[in-house]
Amino acid sequence: MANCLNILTSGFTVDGLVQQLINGLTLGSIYALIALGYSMVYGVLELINFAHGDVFMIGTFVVLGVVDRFGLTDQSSLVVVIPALLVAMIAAMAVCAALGFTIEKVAYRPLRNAPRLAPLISAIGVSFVLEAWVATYVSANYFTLPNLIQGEIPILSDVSISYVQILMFVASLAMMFFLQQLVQRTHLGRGMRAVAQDRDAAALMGVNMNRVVSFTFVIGSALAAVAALLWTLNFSFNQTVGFIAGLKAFTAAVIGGIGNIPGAMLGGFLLGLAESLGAGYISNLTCGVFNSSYQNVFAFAFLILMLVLRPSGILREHVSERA
Amino acid sequence: MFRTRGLAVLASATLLPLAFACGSTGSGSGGGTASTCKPDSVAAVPAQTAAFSAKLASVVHRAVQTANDPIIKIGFIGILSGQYASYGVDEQRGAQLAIDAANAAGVSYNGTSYTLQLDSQDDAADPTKGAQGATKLVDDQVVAVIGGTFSGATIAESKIFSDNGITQISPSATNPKYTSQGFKTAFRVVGRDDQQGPADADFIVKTLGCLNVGVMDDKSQYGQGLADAVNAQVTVDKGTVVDREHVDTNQTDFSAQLTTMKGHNPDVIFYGGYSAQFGPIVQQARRLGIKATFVSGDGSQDASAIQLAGSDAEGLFASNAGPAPSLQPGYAAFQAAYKAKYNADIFQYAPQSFDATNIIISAIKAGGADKAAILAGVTATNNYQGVAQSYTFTSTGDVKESIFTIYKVESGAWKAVKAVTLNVS
Repeated sequence: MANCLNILTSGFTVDGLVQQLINGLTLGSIYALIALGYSMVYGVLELINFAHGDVFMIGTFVVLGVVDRFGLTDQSSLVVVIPALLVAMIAAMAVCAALGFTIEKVAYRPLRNAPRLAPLISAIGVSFVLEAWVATYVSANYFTLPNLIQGEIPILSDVSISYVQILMFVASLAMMFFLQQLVQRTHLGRGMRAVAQDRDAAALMGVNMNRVVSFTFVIGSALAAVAALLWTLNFSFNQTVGFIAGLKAFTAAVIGGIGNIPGAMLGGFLLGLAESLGAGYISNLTCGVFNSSYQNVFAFAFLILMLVLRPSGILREHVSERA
Repeated sequence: MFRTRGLAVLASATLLPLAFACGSTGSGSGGGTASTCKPDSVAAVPAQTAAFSAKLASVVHRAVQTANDPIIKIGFIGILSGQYASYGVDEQRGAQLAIDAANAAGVSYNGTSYTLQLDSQDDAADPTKGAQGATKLVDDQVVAVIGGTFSGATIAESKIFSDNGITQISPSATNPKYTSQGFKTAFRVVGRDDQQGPADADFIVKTLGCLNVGVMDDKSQYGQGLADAVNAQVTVDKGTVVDREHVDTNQTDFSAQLTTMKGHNPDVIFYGGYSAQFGPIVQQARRLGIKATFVSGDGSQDASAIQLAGSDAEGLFASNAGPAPSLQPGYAAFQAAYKAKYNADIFQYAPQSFDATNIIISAIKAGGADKAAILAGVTATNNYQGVAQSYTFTSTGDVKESIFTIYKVESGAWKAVKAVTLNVS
């Protein structure tokens, strides 16, 4: 028992806790950006777009290509890095948006009136195609970018938040804000909300279904491209990164309430925190019985519990009603 | 209601298989002691000149071979695709060079001269694929096999070769289980992780003088095995394992584990796993402000680790099985021949693969191309002098003179700093 009490607090510092919170929120902000794509597509089409994670993966490789072409290194000054990253972001957004549009047109639109499972399988197929294509024609190796943005701001005695982390957090909040504006204020955004509420009534009211759906995919993929840029600044990636990140982002979207934009953001942050705090403190909380290798078990068990308690998500799902 | 519950169930069902990851050991807790830790005091040893000319360099005449010479197939199985293909392809080239040299000089036994051929299969470091490749080699009636490259697949293949009496020599598999299964046909020409681990631990505690060690691994058969061995030996050497962390082979964000590790203040962090993760782990650790020295095993001692770690690669240590190139007697001549044929540099285990193939060829010359005779010949190998080192096999199929080398990254490249030789009985 005494040993258990010992383990409960071993290695615990306030600094460590704050650092884990920062880690969780930054990781969560990337999940949130990817989750938005899943959420919107599900809201409009009731389709789980399994290929979305791989569109994100393509984004990471586009960023790699641009950074490579600019010849950036650790020593490159911000004067060169910032414009290069902007170019990378625009390029990634363009490529991902085009890819998302094409996937929808080729793999999902023909199946729009087919039984629900058909587009789902089609999505899985697209996912496999993208991964295999990258592995064969680009590379199966892992890649990292050089340390392009360096420096941090110290917070507590032993904790600092790096500029990259601040960027990740700010960028994802900014994207959510823009998305909300887009959905609430523009013509196409109104169309999206109408289709999400009631597909047939929207069609009767003159909403162009095809255009709305394409728009949804394009926006979702562009957001995934931003997430890809932020990912590459901090983590390594190869052709499989889309699968894991995508699955977790989809989970985040469901937790927050599928079809619900603030819900996707909330879900993303929550999942990031659950992973971070879980990995950091499972050992302490369970008296050493479970260690950090149970990180995924812990995070997903927590999420399954949340779903059981509140199946439609924290902020309630938002999908179209069928009379 | 029905729909939302269905979606919740679907999501849970999709997640459940993903979530299960197994861990084994718990983490230690520890206090700190005054540090004698001086990682910067260890530097590269200067290269030694080679005084040995490899057999292949001296081959001049071509044996007269007729088209009727019976063909003997020697199998090769290893990683020929995927991100670790460099290892397998390198070994395949080493084996091919040995076969070409032997064919040029002529292979004969009891008056019959043979032509050797290499039959290659890809296991992509995957046990299932390895089993399929091994079965194919058995069907192709190979008389012996060089392979696999990584331990997981090698162990899966060893059963199939043992069941068919085919001698298997691995140039690089280091997990102890491979030769402890009791298969008479399983051999390796490098040391084992239960020797590499203690060598690493001794290096950390005794040579670097660092007593507070954090241990991480990737839960793979190789990585966790190596990390467990280091963990045990650090404690035996009177060091303290302050924290034990595990990551997943697919993981890219290590900040949670690293932050916990940071809270325990290790002087040295040992990582058991492969370079694809070691590089990013080091990079992320430095960003979190972790100043500890990083040490890893042979899975990380390659160019990819330096490339992925970027500017944080300086000062990294990694051990590798086998003597350093600068300490291998026949290295220079072998490297020249390798470059001449393949227009590339040796990646890692080509010398070991070359030596393993030659051990088999020697057995063929001594006892014929029959599987049982080859097995007997290889088992009886005694002080066979190869390019890398001299080999004698123990009763379990391990090599008696087990050599490990510790490397350090200096000026963007791996340089040998220490050689450890264990004489196993």
